[in-house]
Amino acid sequence: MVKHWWKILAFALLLFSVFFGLTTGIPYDKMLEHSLRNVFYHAPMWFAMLLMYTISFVYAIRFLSKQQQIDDNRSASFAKMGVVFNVLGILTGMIWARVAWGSYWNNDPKLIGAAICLLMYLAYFVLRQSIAEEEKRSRIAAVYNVFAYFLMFPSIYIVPGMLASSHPGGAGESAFMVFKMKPELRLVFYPACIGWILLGVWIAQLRARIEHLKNLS
Amino acid sequence: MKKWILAFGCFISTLMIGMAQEDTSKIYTKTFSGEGQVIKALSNDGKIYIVITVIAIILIGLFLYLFRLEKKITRLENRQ
Repeated sequence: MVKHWWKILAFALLLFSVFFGLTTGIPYDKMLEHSLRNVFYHAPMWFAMLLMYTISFVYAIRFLSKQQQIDDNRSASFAKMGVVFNVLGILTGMIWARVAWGSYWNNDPKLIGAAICLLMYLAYFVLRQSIAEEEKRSRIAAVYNVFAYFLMFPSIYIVPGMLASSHPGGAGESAFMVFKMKPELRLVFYPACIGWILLGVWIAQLRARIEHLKNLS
Repeated sequence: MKKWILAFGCFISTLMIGMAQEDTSKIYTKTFSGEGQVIKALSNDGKIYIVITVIAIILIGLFLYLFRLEKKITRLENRQ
């Protein structure tokens, strides 16, 4: 139980974020009203996604240098978890966009960037599926993973940051709106991010272990 | 393991009930309230604590499921 403490912590942080996310005082915005609280649930998806892809990238590099199958399993599992958070982020964002901007999808640079990012990582799995030979698959997938990781930043961060956007993080705005958040909001926001990240790491780890078991048997 | 989960569950539910009480929630609202806040307090009519309890139950269920899944995987690994 001692080494599982961070899983309990993930649970506590998520509970904390739900509790205070729904009850804490928020700045009044005429259009957003209570939907502003989505920032505690929608934005952490992207932070969790970023971390999942980063861990996936680290394991891809490690696989390329050490050639151990388990690293490839981990890399794929974390990428998968990243895709889950990516999809959740897009879906929650669409629901929020309906209230804030009037339509589910409005071809905002930030939204298109997120979609490109998702497609890039879906292509990673298509690539994996298409190569039957195990060692070849792992190596090519790892190389593609590195490529996708470095393209992810321009697509979700740099390019939308240069264009006018109704989403926070457009031109002339701090890229992560979080840093401009009121301290009370940050007090809820950061625990939520950490909670989701820990949950994602946990699930990805479980998945990697199952894949490893499959390889052994 | 089970003992710990049970203890934690008890702790959380006590916390939930405690927070649903007016006095406690007032303290928390005072601590966490910002300018121009929309919701005054947890117990102030809104019944938002029902929603929080529901989400808490979902989270508890999800985490218990994950713990059980991990246990099963560990057992399989030990068998290898």
